[in-house]
Amino acid sequence: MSSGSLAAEPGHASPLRWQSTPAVTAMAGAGLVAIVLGLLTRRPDVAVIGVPLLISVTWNWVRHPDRTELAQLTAADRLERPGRVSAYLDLPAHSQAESILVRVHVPGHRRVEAVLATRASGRRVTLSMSTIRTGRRPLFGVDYREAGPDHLMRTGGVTIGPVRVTILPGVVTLQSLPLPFRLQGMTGPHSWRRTGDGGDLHDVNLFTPGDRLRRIDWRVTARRAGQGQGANPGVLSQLYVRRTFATADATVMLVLDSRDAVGPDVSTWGDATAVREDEPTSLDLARQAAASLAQRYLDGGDRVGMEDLGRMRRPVPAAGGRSQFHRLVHRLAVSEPEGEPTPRQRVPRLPSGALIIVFSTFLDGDAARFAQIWRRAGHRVLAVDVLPRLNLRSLTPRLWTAYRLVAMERGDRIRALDRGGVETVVWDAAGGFDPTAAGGSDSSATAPSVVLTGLARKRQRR
Amino acid sequence: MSRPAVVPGGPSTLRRWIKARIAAVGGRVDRLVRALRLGSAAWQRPLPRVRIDAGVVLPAWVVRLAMLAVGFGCGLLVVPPTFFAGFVVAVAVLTMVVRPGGAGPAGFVTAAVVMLALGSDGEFAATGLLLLAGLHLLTLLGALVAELSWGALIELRSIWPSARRFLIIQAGVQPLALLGAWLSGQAVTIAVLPVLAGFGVTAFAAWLLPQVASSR
Repeated sequence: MSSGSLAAEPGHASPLRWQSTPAVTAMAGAGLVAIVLGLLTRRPDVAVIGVPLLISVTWNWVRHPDRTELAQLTAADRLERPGRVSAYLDLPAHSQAESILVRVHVPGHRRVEAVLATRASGRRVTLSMSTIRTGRRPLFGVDYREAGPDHLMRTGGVTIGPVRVTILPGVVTLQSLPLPFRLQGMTGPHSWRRTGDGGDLHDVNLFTPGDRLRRIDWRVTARRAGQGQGANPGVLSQLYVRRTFATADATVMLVLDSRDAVGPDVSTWGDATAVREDEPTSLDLARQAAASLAQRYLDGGDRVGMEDLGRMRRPVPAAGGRSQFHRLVHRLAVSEPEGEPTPRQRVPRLPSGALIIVFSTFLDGDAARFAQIWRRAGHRVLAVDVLPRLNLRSLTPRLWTAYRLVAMERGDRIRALDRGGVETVVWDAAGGFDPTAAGGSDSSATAPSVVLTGLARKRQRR
Repeated sequence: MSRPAVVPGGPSTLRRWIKARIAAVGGRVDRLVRALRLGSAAWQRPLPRVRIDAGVVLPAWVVRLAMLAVGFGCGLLVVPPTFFAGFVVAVAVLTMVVRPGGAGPAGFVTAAVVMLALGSDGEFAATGLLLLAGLHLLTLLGALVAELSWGALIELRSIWPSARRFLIIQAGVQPLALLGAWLSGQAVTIAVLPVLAGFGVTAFAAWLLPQVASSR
């Protein structure tokens, strides 16, 4: 799985103000009490106990800081390693503070508090978290305050961030992929049934108007010179040309159902409980699957576009090349559920003859309905089930009953897709495809390359 | 929740009633466990922690333990060796360790000073020097961890300026204490007095000479 990259927005702290802590007054009071008591009882060993306390307080009053500097929080441009996101907290140079108190909080992680030393030349502190999630998310909030000598003076707390980080999905290496029923164009990486330029040999036939002169097969022409009724031997009377199959490219439309992002824990589906950072949601799996397929198709010279069912906006038109891959990956990363899903009355219009790949959990009927409509319209449709492997152990009896109802409805939809000619596959967290699973998350993951090769051959037999 | 029905009868009825009550309590416990997610996989797998690149660090609970040790030691130096006194000292120290902010350490210092003034026989011993350093250290540690959680990480480099300041102040105050005791006529019973004097002079020189060198 290749590492992704990040796009981040820096966070700045607002100005801070110095203030004494309650310990200053308490230490001064204790010091005075000790000195007075020592003088009254003529006990220098008692009086001298108050001296270091008063010296500390006096030192803090004399050397107390009077200005603050701003810190900056930025996210790293690239992942430290796959699954590890970093951010940099740049502490200011020439800070009057003796130490910095930070509290870093990140979704899905236990927060950490730290007291950091300052340096005259400034300092960069690296913060990092582990996650397999993707998309555009607010991460790395830092509560920040400065401390003076002996921590007797501190600034007020200020929150820096959170920094919005866009984690692009990684890709899984794939090999053979299914193609649409009908290829398009006159050039491309695939052989097509029509005659044209650039493909395998179709036949050797008589020269007709429109044939290119450089296609003339002189060997066959010479061999057949003078043959035929009424022909003079040794005289060229007819020309023969080599005709080849045309090449064409495939148009693939990735249809992402970003209306929901459910995690493996079914008990979190009905509330706002956050999914753990080490567990992928359905949307993370969909992004990974779509990015992997897009990369493979684009590397093969085909054209890929994208439609998002969760947003009423123009789709990404089908195109080829490396820039198209970056465009698609970025659009995948920023796709996320936005409030209540907007019901679509009209089926999105997609290029004719395109292979349509739908990435959805099929927990509701819209994605399945669209897939069936596209299939009836003549498209080859592939339904990728991106529901993660579920954790059903912590369910209450009521939740278990509700889950069973939802699972049965979902299974019925996927079986209906199978009956309607839509090929269904399962994409689990390991990147496996399993075309035999009808919505079940307990099936063993078959190697993706084996399954995809089978799907690719299926088209040829048709 | 409705109470289980009790039909007047013999021991079997009483047994059923007891079982029903136990089941009701068990149901409440089960709902509480699920609500707190105590039995879920999410709780059994603790959340990961954010990593911070902070060099050599010391957990804040170690500093609080140090406060406990220093406070308990200072307390035992000023109270009579009885169980009740030790118990009171332990409670005071634990309270200060749990709530190190604000007036806790300073209040402990004040109480120790009062006990020292009223309780000892006026003889200046090595315990006086230990008390002098220990109480000062206690207030500094309290100010350090006052607003930190038990699991906070303290970079050792960040406390070096405070440590250096503590040593410098003690190097000046300890000889001052001895001088004060000598001038007031107290009996000074410290066998290592010359060693302490030498340490004080050395520490003072270690502070002064770099300042002189840097000013040239």
